[in-house]
Amino acid sequence: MPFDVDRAAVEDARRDPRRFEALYRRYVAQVYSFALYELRDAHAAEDVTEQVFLRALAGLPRFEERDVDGAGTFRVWLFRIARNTISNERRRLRRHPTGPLELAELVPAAQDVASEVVQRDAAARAWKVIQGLPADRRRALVLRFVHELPTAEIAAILGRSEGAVRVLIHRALRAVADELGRGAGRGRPA
Amino acid sequence: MRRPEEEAVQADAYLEGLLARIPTGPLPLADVAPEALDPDLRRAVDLLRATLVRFHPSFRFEESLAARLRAEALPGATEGTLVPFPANAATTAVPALSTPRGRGPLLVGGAIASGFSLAGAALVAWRLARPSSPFARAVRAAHRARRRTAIGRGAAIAARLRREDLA
Repeated sequence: MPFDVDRAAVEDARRDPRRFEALYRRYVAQVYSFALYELRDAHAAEDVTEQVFLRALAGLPRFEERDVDGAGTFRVWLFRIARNTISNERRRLRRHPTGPLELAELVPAAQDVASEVVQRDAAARAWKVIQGLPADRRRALVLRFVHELPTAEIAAILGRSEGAVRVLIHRALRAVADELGRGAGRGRPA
Repeated sequence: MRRPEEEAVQADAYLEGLLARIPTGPLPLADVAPEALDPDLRRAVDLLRATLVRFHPSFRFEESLAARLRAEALPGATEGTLVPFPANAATTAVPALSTPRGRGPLLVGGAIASGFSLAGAALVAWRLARPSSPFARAVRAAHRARRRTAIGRGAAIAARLRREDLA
């Protein structure tokens, strides 16, 4: 069994760059979503997605797979490009700020209306906390929850140890939990 | 009080158990007992698991970027391709544009004649296509009658003069 699930597709794309489309189709939503959570602007996320894949296509001959606990896979390499591109974009956006996207508004509606309202309120408060987190905690959280990456890959993307990533995620979760606990306290009768 | 590192490992294991199961919502947990984790933390994990969804770019954007990547992936796409212009016109399949001397006036004359022919044909067609109206017929009849009257009057005067001469 190959170490990198994308190995065959990467080798194909190296031989014939037109085959890069398979990798693009596999990861376009992940890269776009990662960018959207970070930048909270659909257009900026599209710009970043475009830059990431153009860079990946151009840099594919230089990509080297390394067998270090999943740290040298194509996906990690792609997300590293995304992380760097997003950092550049965030710096640019700080100079030209735009309106934030309320991701809680886009959360799929639950079946039960009452639980939907409660969940949306909780999601909105959680999202507010996530927005205020330091960048590494927020990225670790999004990579873990949205992209379901294992801790080892997140560590490779962020350039941290696995233990450090676990702590980053835990602190992020603790911040969200504290906010939800405060909200529940506000709802209770005195 | 649990140490943060210990709680982080527990949260990670709990989350790993959640992610291993595809559906969201209430989950029976076998790997990590839910009560092993702080309830607030567990609630946060469950909420984020249910609400932090993956977004997909628009179809239009995805296809447009795919097209751009295909174009970039073409051999020599970044450098551009220079197509040499043929040095010898005789080797090209495109016919030469130069005309022999003296043909110009002939062509102009032909074009003018052709224009007149076309205009004449159009006029005839227009006249044939328009049925004559009663008013037009009346005008033509009056005109013919006046001509006939004028001719008759002229003939009478000529006969009178001839008679006078004879007399």
